[in-house]
Amino acid sequence: MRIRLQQFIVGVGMILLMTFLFVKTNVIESAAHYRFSLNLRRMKELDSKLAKDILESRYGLITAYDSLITEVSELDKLCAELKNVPDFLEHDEQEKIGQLLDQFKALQSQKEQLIEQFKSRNAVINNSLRYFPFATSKLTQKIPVNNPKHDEVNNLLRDVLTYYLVTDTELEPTIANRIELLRKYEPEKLSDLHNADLNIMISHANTILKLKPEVDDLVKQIVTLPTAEKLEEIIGFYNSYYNESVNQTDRYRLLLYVVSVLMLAYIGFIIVRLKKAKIALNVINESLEQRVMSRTADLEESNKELQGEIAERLRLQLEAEGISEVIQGVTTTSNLDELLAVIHQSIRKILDADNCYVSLFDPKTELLNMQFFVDKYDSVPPPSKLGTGLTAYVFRTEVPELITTEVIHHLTRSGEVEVVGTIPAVWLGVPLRTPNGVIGVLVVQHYENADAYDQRDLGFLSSIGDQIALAIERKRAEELQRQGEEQLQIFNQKLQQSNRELQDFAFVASHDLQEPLRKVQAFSDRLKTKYAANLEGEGLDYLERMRSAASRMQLLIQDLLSFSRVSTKAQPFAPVNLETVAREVLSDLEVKIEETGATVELIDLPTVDADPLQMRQLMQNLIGNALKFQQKETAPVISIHTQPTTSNGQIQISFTDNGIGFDEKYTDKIFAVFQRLHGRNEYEGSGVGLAICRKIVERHNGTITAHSIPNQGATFTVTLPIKQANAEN
Amino acid sequence: MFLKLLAIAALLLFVGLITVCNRSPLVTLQPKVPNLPDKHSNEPILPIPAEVSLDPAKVALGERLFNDPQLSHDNTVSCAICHSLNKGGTDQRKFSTGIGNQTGKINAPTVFNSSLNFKQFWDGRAENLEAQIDGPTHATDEMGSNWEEITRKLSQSPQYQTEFASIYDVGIRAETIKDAIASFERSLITPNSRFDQFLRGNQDAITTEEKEGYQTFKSVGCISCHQGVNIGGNFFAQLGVLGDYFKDRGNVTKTDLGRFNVTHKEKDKYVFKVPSLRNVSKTYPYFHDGSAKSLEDAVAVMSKYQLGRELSQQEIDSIVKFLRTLDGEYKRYPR
Repeated sequence: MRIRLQQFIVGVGMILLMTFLFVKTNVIESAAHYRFSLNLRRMKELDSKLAKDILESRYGLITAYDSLITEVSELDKLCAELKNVPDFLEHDEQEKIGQLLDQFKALQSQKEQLIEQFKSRNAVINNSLRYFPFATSKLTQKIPVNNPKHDEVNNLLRDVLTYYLVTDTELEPTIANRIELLRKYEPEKLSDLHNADLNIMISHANTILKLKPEVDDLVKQIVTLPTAEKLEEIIGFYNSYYNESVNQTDRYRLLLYVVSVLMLAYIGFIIVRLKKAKIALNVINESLEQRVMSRTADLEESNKELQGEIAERLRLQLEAEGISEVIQGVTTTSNLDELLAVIHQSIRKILDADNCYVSLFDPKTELLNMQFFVDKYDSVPPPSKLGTGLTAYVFRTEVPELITTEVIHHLTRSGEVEVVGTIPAVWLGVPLRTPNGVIGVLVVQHYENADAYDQRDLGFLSSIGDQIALAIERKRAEELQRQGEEQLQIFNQKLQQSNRELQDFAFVASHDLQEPLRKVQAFSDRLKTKYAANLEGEGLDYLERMRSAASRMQLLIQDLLSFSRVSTKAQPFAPVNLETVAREVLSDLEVKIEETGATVELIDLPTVDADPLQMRQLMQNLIGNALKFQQKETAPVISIHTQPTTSNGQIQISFTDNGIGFDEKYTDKIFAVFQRLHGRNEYEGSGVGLAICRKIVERHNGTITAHSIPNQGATFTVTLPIKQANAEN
Repeated sequence: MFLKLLAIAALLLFVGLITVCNRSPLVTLQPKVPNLPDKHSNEPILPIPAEVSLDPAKVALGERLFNDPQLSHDNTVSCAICHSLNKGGTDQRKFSTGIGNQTGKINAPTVFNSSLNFKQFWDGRAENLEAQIDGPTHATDEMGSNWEEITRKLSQSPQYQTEFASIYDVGIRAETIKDAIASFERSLITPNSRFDQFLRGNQDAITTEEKEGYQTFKSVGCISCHQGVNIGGNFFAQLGVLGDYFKDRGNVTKTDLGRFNVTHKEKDKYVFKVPSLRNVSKTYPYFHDGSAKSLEDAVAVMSKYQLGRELSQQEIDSIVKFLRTLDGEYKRYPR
C-alpha cells in the first residue's frame, strides 16, 4: 500500500511539474505582445505627426485644427489602452512600464494645454497678420504721400512684417517706438474715421508684436517636450523585458523536454512491470477460478438439499390441505359426483396424473362402476364385472399398489391380471376402506413418466383413500336419506291429489244422484196419489217404505253434498262476530228451543277471521246436536263460552251440554262421515253433522275435540286462530 | 490499473505538449489603424460624413430618454425642451427656462453635430457627450435632478426595464442612461448641407453670391477660427481679442469668465469654445450670452471684437448668405 501511495505521489507530481512547465512555456501571449508593441509604434507615429501638424498650422500650411484634435484624442486613447501591460511581464516590469506611461501622460497633458493655447493664439495672430497690411494700406491711402506719417505707417508695416519673419526680438523696441509716434500723431489733423483706422492698425500691430514671441515660444515648447523620447524609453524597456521573457520561456521549454523524456522512460518502465504483473495475476486468477468453481458446486448441492426440504414441507402442507379439502367436500358438495370432482382436484394438486378414477363396487349388481373417471386418452368404460383388471386386483387384495409397466407385464404374464385400455407407465391404486369393508378403488396413472409416483405418493394416496372412503360413505348415507325424503314428498303429493279427486267425486256424485232420486220420489208420490186406493195394506206399506227410503236417501245426499261443499263452496275468510252468528242460529232454532225448554248461555264469544256461512253451519250443527241428544225428561242446558288462551293467537270455544253424552272410546268415530252411535230410530240424522264440523274447523286451521261421560253430557271444544293468514279485511 | 491510467494520461499529455510547444510563436496580426482624415484637403472646411455607425436600439432608447421629462426633478423639463430638433437643436431663446421657471445663465448650444465638437459646453468642461449629460441633469436651474432620482423613476416603468435589459446587462444605471442618450446625440448629425454638396464637388449646389460670401468669410479672417468639419468647435478662443467686448456690453457675470471657471488660469478669462456654424441660421440668438439676435448682428460683433475690423454692410450680407448654405439635413436614425 505504501509503495502504491509513493507511486501515486510521484505520478501526480510529475504531471503537476509538466503542467507547470507547460504553462510557463506558454506565458507569452503573442497577441498581447503584438498589440502592445504596435500601439507603442503607433503612438510614436502620432506624436511625430502631431508635431508636424503643429508646425504646419503655425506656417499656415493647414488651416483646420481637426487633425490636431484627432491626433491628440488618438494618443489619449492609445495611452489608456497601453495601461493594460501584457501579463507575461514580471510585476515590477509592469509597474515600470506603468510609471513610464504615467510620465508620458503627464507630458502629453502638458502638451495638450500648450496646443490649446497655441490654437487660440495662432488663430488670432494669423488673422492679424492677414489683415495688418490691409489696415496699413487703408490708412496710407487716406494720408497724403508727402506727409511724413505716410512713411511712418509704411515703416511700421515693414518693421512688423520683418519682426514676424525673423527669430529674434531686436525690432520690438523700434516697433513700439513707431507705434508711440503714430499715437502722438495729431489727431485733429485726421478725421474720426481715420483715427479709428489708425487704432485698428495699431491694435493689429500690437497683437502681432505680442503674440509672435508667444506663439513661437509655444511651438518651441510643444516640439521640445520630450514625449518622443519618453515613448522611445518605454519601447526600449518593453523590448528588453519582452526579450527577457522569451529567454525565460525558452529555458522552461528545454526543462520541459528533459522532463518529458524522463517521463517517457518512466512510462516504459511501468509498462514492462505491468506486463510482468499481469502474467503473475493470470496464474493467480486460474487457481482462484478453480476454487470458486468447487465452492460453487458445494453450494449448489446444499442448495438442492434445501430445495428438497422446502418441497417436502410444501408437499406435506399440500397433502394436509388435500385431506382437509376432501373432508370439507363432504359438507360443501351436494352429491357424490361433486364430491368426487373435489377429490380429483385435490389429488391433482399434489400428483400429476394422466388418468384418475374412482371405481366403486356395487354389492347388489356385483359390478365395478366407474363412479368418476378423468383420462387423457380413454373414454369412460362401462360398468364391468369384478374381473381380473388391476382395479379388481387391488379391490380383492385390499392392499395399495404402485405398479410400473414391467410389473404389469409380469402380472399379465402370470395371469393374475388382465389390462384393459391404454397401458400406463405407472399405475397407482389404493383400496377405499370403510369399517364395513372395501367399497372401491382410487386410481391415478401416468402414461409417459414412469417416475411420476413413488412410495411416498402411495402412502399419501392410501391415507387420502381412507378419508375418501369415509366421505363416500357419508355422502351415500346422505343421499339415501334425501331419496327417502323425496319419496315421502311424492307420496304426499299423490295423496293430496287423490283426496282432491275424491272430493270432486263426492260432490259430483251427490249432485248427480239427486236427479234420479227426485224422479223416484215424484213417481212414488204420484203412485200414492193416483193408486193408493188401489193398493192393499201390504202394497201400501211397501210404497211407504220406498218413499221413506227415498227421503232418507235425499237427506243423505244433501248432507253429503253439504259436507263436500265445505271445500268446494268455500268462501274467503273475513272477520266474523261469533256471538252474532250464535244469536242468529239460536233464533233459527227458536221453535226447537221452546219445544224442549232449553236454556242456552253465550259467554264472551269473540270475533275471528272465518268463513261466515261455515261458522253459522258449525254453530248450527253443534247447538243442534246439543238440543237433539238430550236426556229424556230433562230440559237441556247449553253453555257456549270462550276460554281465553294467549298462546298462538288462538281461542277455544267450548260447547257444553247436559245431554246423553257418549263413550269416549267412540271419540274418533263420531267425527267420521255417516258414522252414528245411535240407531236411526232413536235420533234422526245422517251422521254427517260432526264430520262437517271437523272439516270446517280444519279448513280454518283449527281443531275440534270432544269429551264426554255417558249420560252426563258432552263438551265439544273448537280451537280457532283469531287471525287467518289470507283473511280479507 | 491506476498506474496504467496514469501512464496513458502522461503519454497523452506529453504528445500534447510537444505539439503545442512546436507551435510557432510568431503569429502575424493585422493591426487596426484608424484612418485619419486627409489633412491636405484644399478647403479649410470639411463636409460632414454622410454616415455614422451606431446601435439603432441604443439610439431609439436614447431618443425616448432625450424626450423624457422624468430626467428632471419635477418631471417638467426634458432634454428636448432646450434642444428642440425643430429649432436647430436649440430653444431659440436667449436663456433657457429650467424647472420651476428658473432662467438659465448661458445660451443653450445646439445639440446637432455636438459629437463633432472637441469638447462640450461653452467652457469645454466636459470631455465628451456622456460627461456633458451630468451637467444639465444636475444643474439646479436646469433639470435639478440626480442619478439616484432618475434611475429610481425610470425603474418604475416596465417598458424601460425591458428596453434597458435588452441592451445592457446591468439594466438601468446612470452609465447606461448616459450611454443611450449620447448614442442618440451622436445620431444627430446634419450632413448634406448645400455647402457640403459644394465641397463634395457640386459647383451648382450654391449660388455665385454664396460662393462670393464664402470667399469673404475666408478673406476677412472668420476662417481662422471657424474651420474644420464642424466649422468651429475644435478649440478655445477669447471673446474680445481686438476689442473689449465685455466692457462695451457691461454687466459682467461669472459665466462671462468662460474657461477660467474650469482652469482658474488668468489666460483663460473670457475664453470660450469656438461654436460651430453648422445650421447657424436656426440657432439664434447667438453667442454665450444670446446677445446677438440676427446673423448680421453676430457677424458684425464678431468682426469687430474678434477680427479687429469694420466690415461693410455688403461684406456682412455676403457672409450671411454663405452662412445660410450651412443648413444640413437631419435624418432620423442614420446608419
